[in-house]
Amino acid sequence: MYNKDNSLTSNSKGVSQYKYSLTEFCGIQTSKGRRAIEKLDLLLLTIEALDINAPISLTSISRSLELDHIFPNHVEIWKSRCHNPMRKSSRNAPINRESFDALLFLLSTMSQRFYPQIRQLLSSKDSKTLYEKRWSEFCYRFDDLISERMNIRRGAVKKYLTRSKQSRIFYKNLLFVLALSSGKEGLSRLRASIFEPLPNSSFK
Amino acid sequence: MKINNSYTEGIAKLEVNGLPDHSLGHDTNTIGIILNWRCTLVGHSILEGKKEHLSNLIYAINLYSRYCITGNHSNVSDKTNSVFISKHKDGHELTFISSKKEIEPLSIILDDAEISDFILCIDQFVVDKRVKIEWIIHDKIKFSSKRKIIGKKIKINLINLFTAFALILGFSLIYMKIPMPILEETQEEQKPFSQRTSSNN
Repeated sequence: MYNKDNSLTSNSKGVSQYKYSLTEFCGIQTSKGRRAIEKLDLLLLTIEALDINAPISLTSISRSLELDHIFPNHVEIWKSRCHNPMRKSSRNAPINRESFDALLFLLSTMSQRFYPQIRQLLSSKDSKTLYEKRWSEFCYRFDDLISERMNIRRGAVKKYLTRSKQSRIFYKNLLFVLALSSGKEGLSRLRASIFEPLPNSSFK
Repeated sequence: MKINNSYTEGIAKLEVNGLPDHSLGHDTNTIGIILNWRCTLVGHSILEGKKEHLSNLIYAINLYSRYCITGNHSNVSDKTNSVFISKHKDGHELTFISSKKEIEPLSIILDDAEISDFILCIDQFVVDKRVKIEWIIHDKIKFSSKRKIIGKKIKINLINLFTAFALILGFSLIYMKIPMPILEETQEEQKPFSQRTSSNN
């Protein structure tokens, strides 16, 4: 199991060492919590759009972080992510705190692994043609994943799909959040901000 | 013996020279006293200074990163106003003001990728277990949400107070407007009490 400093401890029974305030802990089952799981799932989807093999990496990283008791296989990760109400096949039951914490930890580790790709997209100092090529590939893959996984009949998803065609700000914000979430301090930042809405998001 | 640690992330490279504080029982690989530091931002500038300057930089960078992750690009400065970070149309503007009056303030504009590099480089140093120095990181865990909650609470309290006052005032006015029943006074009652008693006798 992991604690606040990302170090793994084997003696705990799977309860995170990180302390949420009472309102935030209760928030996992409320609208604030729903927003958090939406944000978390969307950030994981962004990583999937960066690399086609990200779902496989997710399972292997989960194993290397000794999260086997929470996510023994990729289906369990998928089931936890399905608590996102924006998904086509969403689960109504609230996500438990242990899985939520583990997903946060996974996201932070994944963003650290994919930091070079995230950086490439955020950097405005590369050659224009290369920059445009990378962005068009990423946007295409991300929109494709949104259409495939999310319930496009929902107003928020529809709104996003139309907005994303007009501007890249939403993508950039997602990538910037991912960049700042990597590493040990990044995990602390991510935990502090996960209950806040995404900047310029239509998923509110 | 002098210890030299370096931390690199993208364009940012931080080099710290220090010594172990033997009075606190540090081993030979632990930095307890910082002699000097140097931060190279490739393509921009080289920053260097004393421990206090590094402490101010860490404080401002950490605060700014916490604002950025919530999408709130507020201007940030440290307590001595020597480091100032703000959102710029081309990215993020960092201004360093020297304590020496003859030195002009240094201004650097970094894009999202470069500021991420800088933040992650500073993060590496802050979490390094070989450095046993307590850095002032304001509300390390719950900064963003706590700030908003405190703001909301004050707002809610004021609203409650105002509503209560308005309700009391409203009810008082309504009560004053209600006409009181006029009681018909008999002639007997109009007489003074002494006269009433004498007439009875």
